[in-house]
Amino acid sequence: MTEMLAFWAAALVAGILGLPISFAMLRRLPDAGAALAMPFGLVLAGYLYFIFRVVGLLPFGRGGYLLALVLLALISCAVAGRDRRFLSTLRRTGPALTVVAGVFTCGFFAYVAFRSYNAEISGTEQPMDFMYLNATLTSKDYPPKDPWMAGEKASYYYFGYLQAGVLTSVADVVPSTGYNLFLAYTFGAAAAAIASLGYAFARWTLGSRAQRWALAAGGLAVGMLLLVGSLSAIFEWSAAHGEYNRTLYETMGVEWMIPCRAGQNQDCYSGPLNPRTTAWYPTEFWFWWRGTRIIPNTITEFPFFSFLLGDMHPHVMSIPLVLLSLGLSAAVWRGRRMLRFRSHIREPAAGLALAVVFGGLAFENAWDILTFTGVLALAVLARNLRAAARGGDDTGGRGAATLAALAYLGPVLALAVVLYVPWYRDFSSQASGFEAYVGKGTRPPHAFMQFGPILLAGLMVVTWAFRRTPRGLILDAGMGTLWVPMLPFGLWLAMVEFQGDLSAAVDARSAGGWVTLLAYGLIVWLLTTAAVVLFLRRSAAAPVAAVCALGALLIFGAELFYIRDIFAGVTPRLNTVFKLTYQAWMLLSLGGAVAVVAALRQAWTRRAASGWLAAPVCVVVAAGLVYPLTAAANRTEGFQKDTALDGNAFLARTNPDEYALTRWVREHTDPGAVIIEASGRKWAANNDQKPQVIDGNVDYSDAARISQRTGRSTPIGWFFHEIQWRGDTAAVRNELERRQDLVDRVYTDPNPTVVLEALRQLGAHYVVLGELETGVSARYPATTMAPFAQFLDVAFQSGPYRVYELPAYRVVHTS
Amino acid sequence: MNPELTAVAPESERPEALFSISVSAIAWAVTTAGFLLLRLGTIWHTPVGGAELVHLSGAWQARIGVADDRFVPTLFQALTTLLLHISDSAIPARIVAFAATATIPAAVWFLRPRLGEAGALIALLLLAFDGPAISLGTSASAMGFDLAIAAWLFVAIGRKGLRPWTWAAIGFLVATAGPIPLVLALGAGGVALARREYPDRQAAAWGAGGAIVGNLAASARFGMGFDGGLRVPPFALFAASFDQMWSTANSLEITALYVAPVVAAGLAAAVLLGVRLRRRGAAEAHDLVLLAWAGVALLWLLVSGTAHSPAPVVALTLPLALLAGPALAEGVDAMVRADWRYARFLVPIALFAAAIALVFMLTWARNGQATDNGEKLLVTVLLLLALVALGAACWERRAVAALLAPALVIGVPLFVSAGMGVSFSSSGEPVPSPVSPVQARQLRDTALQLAHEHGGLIVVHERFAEEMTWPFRDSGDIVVASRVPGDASVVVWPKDLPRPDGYNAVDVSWNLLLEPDVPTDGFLAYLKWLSDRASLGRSEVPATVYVKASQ
Repeated sequence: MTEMLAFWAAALVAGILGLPISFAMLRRLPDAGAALAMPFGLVLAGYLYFIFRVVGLLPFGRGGYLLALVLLALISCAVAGRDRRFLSTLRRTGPALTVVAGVFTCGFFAYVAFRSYNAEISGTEQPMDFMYLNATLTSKDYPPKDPWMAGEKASYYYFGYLQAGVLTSVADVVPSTGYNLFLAYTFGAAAAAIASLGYAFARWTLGSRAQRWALAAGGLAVGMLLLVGSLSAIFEWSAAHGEYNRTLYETMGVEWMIPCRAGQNQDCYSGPLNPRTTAWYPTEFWFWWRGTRIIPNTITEFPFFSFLLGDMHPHVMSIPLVLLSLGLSAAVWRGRRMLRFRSHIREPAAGLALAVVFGGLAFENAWDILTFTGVLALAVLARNLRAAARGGDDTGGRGAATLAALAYLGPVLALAVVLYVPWYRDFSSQASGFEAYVGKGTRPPHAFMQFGPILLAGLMVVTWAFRRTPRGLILDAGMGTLWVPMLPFGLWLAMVEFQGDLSAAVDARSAGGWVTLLAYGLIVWLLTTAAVVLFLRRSAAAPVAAVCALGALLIFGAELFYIRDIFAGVTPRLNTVFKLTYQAWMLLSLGGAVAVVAALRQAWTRRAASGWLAAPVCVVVAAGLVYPLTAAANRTEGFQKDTALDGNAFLARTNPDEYALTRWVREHTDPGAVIIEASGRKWAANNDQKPQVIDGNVDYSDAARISQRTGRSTPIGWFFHEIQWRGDTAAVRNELERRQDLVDRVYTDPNPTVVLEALRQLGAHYVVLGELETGVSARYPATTMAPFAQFLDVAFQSGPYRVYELPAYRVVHTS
Repeated sequence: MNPELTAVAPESERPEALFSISVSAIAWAVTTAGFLLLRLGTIWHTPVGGAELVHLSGAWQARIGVADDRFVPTLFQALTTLLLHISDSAIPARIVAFAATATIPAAVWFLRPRLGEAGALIALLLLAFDGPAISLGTSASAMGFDLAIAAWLFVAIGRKGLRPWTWAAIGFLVATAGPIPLVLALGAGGVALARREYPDRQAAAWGAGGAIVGNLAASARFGMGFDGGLRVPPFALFAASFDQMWSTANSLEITALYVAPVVAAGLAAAVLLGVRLRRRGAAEAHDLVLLAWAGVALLWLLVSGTAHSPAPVVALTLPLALLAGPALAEGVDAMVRADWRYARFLVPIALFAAAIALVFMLTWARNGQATDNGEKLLVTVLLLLALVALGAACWERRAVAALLAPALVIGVPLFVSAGMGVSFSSSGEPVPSPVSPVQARQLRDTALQLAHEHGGLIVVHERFAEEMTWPFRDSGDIVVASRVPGDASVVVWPKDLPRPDGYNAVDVSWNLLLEPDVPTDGFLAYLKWLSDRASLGRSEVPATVYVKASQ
């Protein structure tokens, strides 16, 4: 309880420190940026910590984190001091501050309560996330190390983990609790941020008199972003209770949810039938996982799933930062004066703050940088064009406005890169190209199940955007925006043709795929036209249509292209669809919520028939709530499981000796120490009693578990993840294999001299003999293990488990 | 009565004195003397312990040219290293620290215009009895100059017209000090930035220049070699205060044991000042700086509650004493003028009831528990009676100030006894702790003598690697190992480990480190300690000396 309150308080402190800066940058939002102060404060504190650790100004440990907050406090004091409107803004936003703090608090504690039923950091990629959190906390030098590759720096976008480290350290909680609490922070901060943006966009769209409708939009945005999920849950729920129509399921492409026919053993449910579920919700283990794998060979994750699963991945941690970037873009768009290079001279701090935030997007989740910097660019351009249209002595025409926008953006973007150079130096992107997707397209029912709620909500813009607009203007805009869907499609055609397999590509997409593509393209076109029409009408609702259009464009783009990465051979568009549709979910939740509320208000107050189209859309959106209801109940086993906050509590319960061993390593070894633990490969003695590998898969296993739980370095962790982070080259593979061999030699060679030589080569200080080395899940045959006690010191012992240490011997000069 | 006898001669008719001493001067002299005397003895009789043990070890390592994280270095630690070339004792460094600390009364004297004569005096009185500050201000820890620098920095911040180069010196001193002046610098910086009261460019440039030179000097380890990294001693020590063992008791425990009265008074004064400034609608920079300083220090104490360091406590009591001084002066005046109609009966009744209850509680404390239910009931009734009496006494607004009397009756003895405890019997106090006992040095002498007699290596177990640096200084080459090497003749081994094969024990009960227990196992344990400061148990780090059997 104390830890939870300390973490919550630390998050609020970050928000308070970010408030003056948030006010200065986001004053044009109705709450003056109060809701975005928390991610703003945290991102600045994280950046200060990172950069000052790199230059050696801040020390290692908790004190370093606190000093980063102190530096942020000084900056905030300076900003508040210079901002003549700070106190008046603070007074004006008093109620808003209370509301956003309340929304954050409710979100935070609600998620803590939920997560406490599944607190364990175990399974999927949670060990990897925990490893990076520990890496940022325990690295004596910065940029931080990669604990799964002793001696190497981390090559990943770890800014989110670094921010998690700030709150974990400041609140003085153990990392395994900090992991879960940071997820709760992300949930709460995302809720407050999207509520604020939804409210702001609705206020701009509906006018200041529609306060209640704007509040409803804020609330709906929270629901759409953080709760609504895949419609597949309805089919899951129905099938689990034996209520299904085979034809319907086959039409929707979810036939694998219903029992197999006689003789059928693929694409059908073959589990127990009597009963298939023992509760009102499907009790099948992790049924909700399939809700993100509906479209074959892709991942279509959405925020609720992320929080349900509990992987602290960059794309999850970045949600508050992405929303902050959207808020900044919105504030930029709302400004009146043209932005140009000179603006930086007048307000250098504003450009710097933008650079920190937008540069941080890449550092936090590299996928976000292009999309949301694009949003900023659009906002600057739109503002300048509007200023140019308004006219004035020095505004010039459209060309000048565009050039001014470029001149404004150039330094910001350059600075956004320069500020993060220490990270770029060690970062090796897994992206190796941009390619046209050739393969089966998404079937319409799958697309509907996954994106139906958000796309339809976004499409509601069309019900009110064109009202009272001259047809000519609509037609002109429509013709002018045709290129938006056509250009990517044309590019796709050209690329496929260039590759020489156009007809094969056309065939491969299949009829369903083409229908989906056409529907996506149409939606993109309609929404873009709506955005342009609203912009030309100088309507404050233009950003709503723009974010919806961009969201749809991302889904459309992921249907045509993919970023080439390590998965290119088997599931080429897996990551691209995953990451781009995740961004689309954020954009469409925001824009869609406002669009739906605006349509409903139109129907309610003006009796506009088109507005009533929002009613069925609301039903679809509400149907998306079946997923969180059933999945949450499934995940928590009807909220009957034991609760905890510590992500390692499960270990203390299931394997106390291993837990004691882990704690000992964390508390008694130097953070820079290298430990040897099972590489994850499974060995067995052959007929000649010689050890040989019988299973080489180490990823997604307990391999390097002590390292991930303590942040201590081990020579090798998850093999293929390291390849993802460092590139699939022969040199990398050779080095990884060398390390695996040396580590395994420590446990499989009975000769002490050979073992000591391996330890020397690996620079290791400790050898762990725990669950994976000697326990029931041992990866090594006990018969071939060296007699460690004879040549190493026993540093720790609990039950059958040991940590051995290289014997110490050093001459100390005392005079 | 004859009016002639009682009439006072007019001032002009009084005979002129050869010299006159004002009461104020006498008070200042006495308080300053007390401030110094309370610290003087500790230079010689306090064993090396706490942060001092860590930092002296670092300084010794630097003196012999060995790189060690414990060498931060602050300017004072660098001086300590220099002094260790002259003597291998901690005394010279302590004398230097004392000399710096001895200037604090002068700094407080300079603050009279802002604190008031009485306020400044009371502030100095509070500082004089500040136990952790007594220990830190006369120790050879890296923070030996910190209190003096912080006090003078506060004086400097409030003075206008300082020459620009003075800011260079200030920048240098703050950049090469520990974290205690940093707290003030941050508070003052925050206030200046928020109020847009920027220093003039020349002063800022000099200050920044001084700080940069200080950081460069620290990075070059004051001439002992640049090891590649940027060193910011205040930051490094601030961070180390969370991770290193500078005290057996944690920060909150030290606060509760030694400075609770001054913290309570200071916080109350801060709240009163805050309310007053808010009502007034305008604030002087001096008041805001003082509040910000106390605020930052309080935050440090709160976030480092479980850290084993006295530094945040000392950092807090300094501004709180300066806040509490004027407030207490005002409070005493208000107390005298308060409505004592009922209080004159009720306050003594309350104190009397509390005193009787205390007698019972002290008996329980000595016995370790309260067993008699009748006594428990009686004590409860007495304490309730005391509370009711106090409540009734301050029922009227004009009588509230009278409550200061019982507060002083309770607070002053607690605070004074804590300060005296550190000053006069610090070897058994939780501050400073853990200490390197005299025995540790004797153990080293014994080991050296045996090695001299028998030849061969002295081997110390790895577990003692940190603790042995100071007591084993100037002992030639020593092997630190986890296993006994074949060429070892004298072995210093943990008592709980088996006797090394082929070695005989020379003496089995040596201690390398002593840690008095912290009396925080409940109120009775605290009372017991208050009534008998020598009652604390001790933890030890026992070692055994072995010598090779064949010899």
